[in-house]
Amino acid sequence: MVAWGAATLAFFLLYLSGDPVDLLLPLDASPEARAELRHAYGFDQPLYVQYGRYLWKLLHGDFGVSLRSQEPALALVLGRMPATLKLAGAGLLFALILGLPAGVIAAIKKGSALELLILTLALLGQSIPVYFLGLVLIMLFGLRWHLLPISGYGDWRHLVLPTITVGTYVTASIARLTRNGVLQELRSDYVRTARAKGLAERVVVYKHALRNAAIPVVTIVGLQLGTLLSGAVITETIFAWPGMGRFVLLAVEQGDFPVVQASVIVFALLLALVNLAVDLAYLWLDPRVRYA
Amino acid sequence: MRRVLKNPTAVAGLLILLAFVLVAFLAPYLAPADPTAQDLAARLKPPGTEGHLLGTDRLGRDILSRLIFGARLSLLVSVTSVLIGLALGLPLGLISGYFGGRLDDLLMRLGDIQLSLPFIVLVIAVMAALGPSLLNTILVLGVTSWVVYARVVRGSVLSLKELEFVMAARALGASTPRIMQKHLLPNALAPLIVVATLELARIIVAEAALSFLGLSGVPPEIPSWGQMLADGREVLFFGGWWVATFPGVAISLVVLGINLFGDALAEVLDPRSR
Repeated sequence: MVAWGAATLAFFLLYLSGDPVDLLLPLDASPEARAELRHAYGFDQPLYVQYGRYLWKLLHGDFGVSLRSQEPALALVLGRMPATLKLAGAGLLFALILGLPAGVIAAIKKGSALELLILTLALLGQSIPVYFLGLVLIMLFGLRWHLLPISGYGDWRHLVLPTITVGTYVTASIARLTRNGVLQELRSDYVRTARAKGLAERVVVYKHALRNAAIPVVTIVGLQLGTLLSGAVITETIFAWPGMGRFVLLAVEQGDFPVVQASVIVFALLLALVNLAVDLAYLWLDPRVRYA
Repeated sequence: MRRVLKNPTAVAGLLILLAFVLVAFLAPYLAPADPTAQDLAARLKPPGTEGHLLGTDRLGRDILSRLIFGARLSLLVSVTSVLIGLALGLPLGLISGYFGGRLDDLLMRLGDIQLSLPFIVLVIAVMAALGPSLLNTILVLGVTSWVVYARVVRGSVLSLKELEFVMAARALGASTPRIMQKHLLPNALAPLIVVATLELARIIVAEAALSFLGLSGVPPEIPSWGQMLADGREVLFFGGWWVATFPGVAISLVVLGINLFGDALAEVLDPRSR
């Protein structure tokens, strides 16, 4: 469903500009070359025929050929996927490792200076745009202190700055929403019951409240994944990270439209797959969903 | 509104926002220099240089003046985009929520499909197809944000339309457009205002991102914070930290102001938090 939607979107993108031939050929192409291409790609056919053909080709894994390298567009895009997955995965892990405990601590220590600090940092983290954060990190850790590499793809050190860049916004969101989620659980009846039974506060928080707060947190994480991938596109550009985001931007610059189309579809599929994983996480976390 | 003004963080946010709007409107009176005037003798001067409080960029242009004029573009793009998004999303959300059925299904599916793409990928792809221009940037950012408003309005309408006062209005013979206008819309407004406020921040960030990536098509003679960041990135390696830092701080500050104000607004308008 999502794949079909994204494919359709990618198809109509070609027509947004008016004549698809303009997008597929260099500007100085001769009229003969244009006519030939128009025929070869079937642009002289009715729209529904073109659309049918296009979908048929996609179903057979034919996403068109890169105008630049003449290689299959899909293979080119997929070749960049591991780098993007690595970056997005590292960013998500960073956000979870930092954001979850920060949110829980802020909820437990409500009213303390620590809570204020966490909330302030989270607010700042949500306000600084990805591209500026990336530049600041480059300026400080790369150019001033010479601690970490600022571009390229290699060992773990290359991953540090891009990970922080990609992960900060999501970390902040997770921390804030986790805090709200835990606070809400701490106010609920079953927590009062647990406390009334004389259970240790530690047990109440960890065994009761946190488990139930995990469900809304998973929802939040799921909603953040699109943001995470958007951030990855920009981060890849800043740090010359060889992933799909930088690739699609290069393709845009070079006017390589089949590659842009293939990227759009692959990004949509990727996000759909991750969302499926989030739904499965619900099953695992929430028995109510499992038995329903 | 009075409740919002009792909240110190909300007031701080509001002040930042007001300052941003004022700077944008009064730019010609506030800027110490012409933001586009190049002075090749004074290239990449650090902050504090005589006559250039925040320094100059690679072409010797005054950063402070560019910053002040850049506010205009951010304000223009964000406000018009939000208005376009509202103009599309509000009626679609009303119709979708009120009538339900197939149309509702269709619209919400469309929204799902759009949201199935990382926002920036969608915008990049559309900009690539349309070709970069300021108008296209505003249109793309505005049109793609319809989903947010439509969903919020639809959600409110779904819960409102079953309430007694709407039924009473219908029983009294009020027409559908009248029910929508007089009964549903005013009650759906509160969450919509919160979302529109927060959307301003998202659009400012997105526009600057497009300019930063060189895709916004904003003409070079119009100062834009995103373009300044891109300029700053190029001179980073020559020690010109200030070129990127000031526009970055400006964007962050405005976004912070909007977030502070928007959050406080949400808290006040959400009956559950009372």
